[in-house]
Amino acid sequence: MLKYLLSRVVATIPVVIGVTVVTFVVMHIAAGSYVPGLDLNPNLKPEDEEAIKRYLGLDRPWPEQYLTWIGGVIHGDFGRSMIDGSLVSRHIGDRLPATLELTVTAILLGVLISIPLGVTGALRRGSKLDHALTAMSVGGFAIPGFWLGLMLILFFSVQLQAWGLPFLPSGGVMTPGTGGGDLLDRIVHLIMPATVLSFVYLSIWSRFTRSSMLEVLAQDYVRTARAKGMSERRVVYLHALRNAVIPLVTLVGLELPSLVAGGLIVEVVFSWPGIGKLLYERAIQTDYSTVLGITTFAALLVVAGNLLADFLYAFLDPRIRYA
Amino acid sequence: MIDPIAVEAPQVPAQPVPAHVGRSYWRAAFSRLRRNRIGMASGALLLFFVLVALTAPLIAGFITHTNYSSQDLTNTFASPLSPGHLLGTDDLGRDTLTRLLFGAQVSMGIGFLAVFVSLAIGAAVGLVAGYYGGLIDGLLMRFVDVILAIPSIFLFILMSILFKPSTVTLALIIASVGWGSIARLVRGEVLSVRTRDFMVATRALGASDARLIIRHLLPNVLHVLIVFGSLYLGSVILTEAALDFLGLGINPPIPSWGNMLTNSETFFFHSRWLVLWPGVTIFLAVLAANLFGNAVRDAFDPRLR
Repeated sequence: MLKYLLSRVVATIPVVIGVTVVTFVVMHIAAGSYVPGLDLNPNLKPEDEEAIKRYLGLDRPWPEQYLTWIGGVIHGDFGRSMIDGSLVSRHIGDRLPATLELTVTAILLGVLISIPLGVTGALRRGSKLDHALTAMSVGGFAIPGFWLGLMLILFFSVQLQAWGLPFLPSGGVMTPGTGGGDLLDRIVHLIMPATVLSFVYLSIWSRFTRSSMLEVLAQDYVRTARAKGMSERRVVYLHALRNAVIPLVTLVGLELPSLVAGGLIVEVVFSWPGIGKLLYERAIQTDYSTVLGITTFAALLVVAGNLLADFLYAFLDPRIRYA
Repeated sequence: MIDPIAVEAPQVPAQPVPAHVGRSYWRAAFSRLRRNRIGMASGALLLFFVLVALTAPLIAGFITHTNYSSQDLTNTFASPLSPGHLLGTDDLGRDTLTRLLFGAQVSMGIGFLAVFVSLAIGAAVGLVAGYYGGLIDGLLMRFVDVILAIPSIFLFILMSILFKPSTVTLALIIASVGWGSIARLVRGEVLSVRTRDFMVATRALGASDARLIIRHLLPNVLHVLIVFGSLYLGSVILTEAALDFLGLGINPPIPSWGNMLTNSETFFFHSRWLVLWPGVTIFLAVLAANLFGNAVRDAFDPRLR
C-alpha cells in the first residue's frame, strides 16, 4: 500500500512542474512585458516605463522570471496583481470560502440525489420510471448551465417578485450588510446556484450509478447472497450498492478540481464572489499575473485531487494496490 | 407528354453477394446505427442544424428578408409571430430568427472544426505514443496529464484574452485542450492492438513505421475516434456558447447563440422570448449531438452498451 502511494506521489511531481511551466509560458506569450494601464497614461516617459518594468522584474529573461515566481509558489505566494499590486494568494484566500461553499454543496447534492436515482433505475430496469430518469439525465446534460441559471433567476427572483410573492435572491452569498451570521439567509442565497451546478453532476452520476449497479447485480456473489435467502433489501443495499459506488468515487474524485474551477460560469451568473468570478473579472481587466496565480493554484489543486482520488480508490478497492 | 414513371432509372438486378463475404464490422455498425430510431432522428436534427448553418445567408435573403445586423429601432421587442418576424425582434429591432440562423454558423462551424482538429491531433499523439512506447510515450503522456490538469475553462479564458478570437481561432482554442483525452484513449487502444499477430507479421514483411501506423494501426483505432468525436460535439457547442455568453468568444455584431443571451435578462420585461429562443436552440442542438453520439457509440462499440 505504502509503495503504491509513494509511486503515485513520485509520478505526480513532473506533472506539477509541467503545469507551472505551461501556465507560465502561455501567460507570458499572452502578456509579454505588457503592464495594464501604462499605455493609458500620456505623461509617462519611456524611462519611467522601463523603471516600472524593471521594478516588476519584467526586464529579466523568462527562465529567471519563472524561477523567481515558482520560488514564491512553493511558499504559497502566487505573485502580485499587475493592477493594484495586491497579493494574489490573499485574493484566493478571500474568495475560496465562497467557492467551496457553493461547489461542496453542489457535489453533495449531486451524490445524495444521484445514487438513489441510479439505484432506482437499475432495480426497475426498463420500466417507465427508468425511461423517465434516463430522459431526464440526457436532457439535463444538454442544458447550458448559464442559461438554466438565467431562467431560474428570471422566474424565482424576477417573476415571483413581480407577482408580489416571496422570491429568491438573484445573487451574492448573503444579504449585504448582514455579515453572514444568518444561516437561513445563506441557504436561501445558495439554493439556485447550487441547483444549477449540481444539475450536470446529477445527470452524469445517476447514469453511472445505474450502469455500475446493473453490472454488480449480475455478479455471482449477488446471486449467492440471494441463494442464501438474504432479503432483497440487504442484497441491494449491503452487498451490491457498496461495490457499485466504488467506481463512482473515482468519478467524484475527478470532480475535485471543479471545486475551484467548475463553478466559474455559475459564479458569474449569480454574482457569487468566488474564485471563478475573481478570475473572470481579472481576466477582463487583463490582470495577467492574477490570472496566472489563480490558474496555477487551481491546476495544483487538480493534481492533488487526482492523487487523493487514487488514494481513496486504492483504499476502497484492494485489487488496485496489488496490481 | 412523357410518362414520369417510364423515365425512372431502369431496374438493376441486385448484385449477387459472394458467399464468402461476411458482414464487415463497418457494415454491421452502420446497419445497427440505421436501426436506432432515436439515433437517426437526432442525426436528422443535427443535419438540419448543419444545413441551416450552410444556407443561413440564403434563408435570410429569400425567406426572412433581412440580415443579422439590420436594426429597426421603431420595431424593438416585437413579439413572436408579428409580421415579418416569426420569432420576434430584439432590443435593436433585429430579427431573432435570422440571428439564430447565423448563430448556427458559429456553433456548428466551431463545433465541427474543433472536433476535427482535436481528433487529428489526439489521434496523431496517441498513435505515436502508443506505437513507440518508452521515452516518447512517457513524455507525450505526461504532457497530456499537464494539459488536462489545468482547468479547461481557465485555459480558454486565458487564450481568449490573448487571441481575441475569431471563429477559427476559437475552434483552435477549444481543440488545443480537447485533444488530450483523445490521445489517451487512442494510446490505450494502440497498446492492445500493437502486439497482435497481424502487426508482428506486417513488420516481419518489412513495413516501415509510418506504414504500420497509418495503414494498420489507424484503421483499428478509427472506431474510438468516431465514437469520441460524435460524443464530443455536444460539449464543444456548450463550451463555445458559454464563452460567447461571457463575452470571451465570438462577439457582436456577429450573432451567436451564446452572445445573444448576454444581457438578455435585462430585457426580460420587454420580451421574455429573447431569453428563451437561444437557450432552447442550444439545448436542441446539444441534445441532438449527444443522442446521435450515444447512438454512434452503441453502433460502433457494442461492448459499451
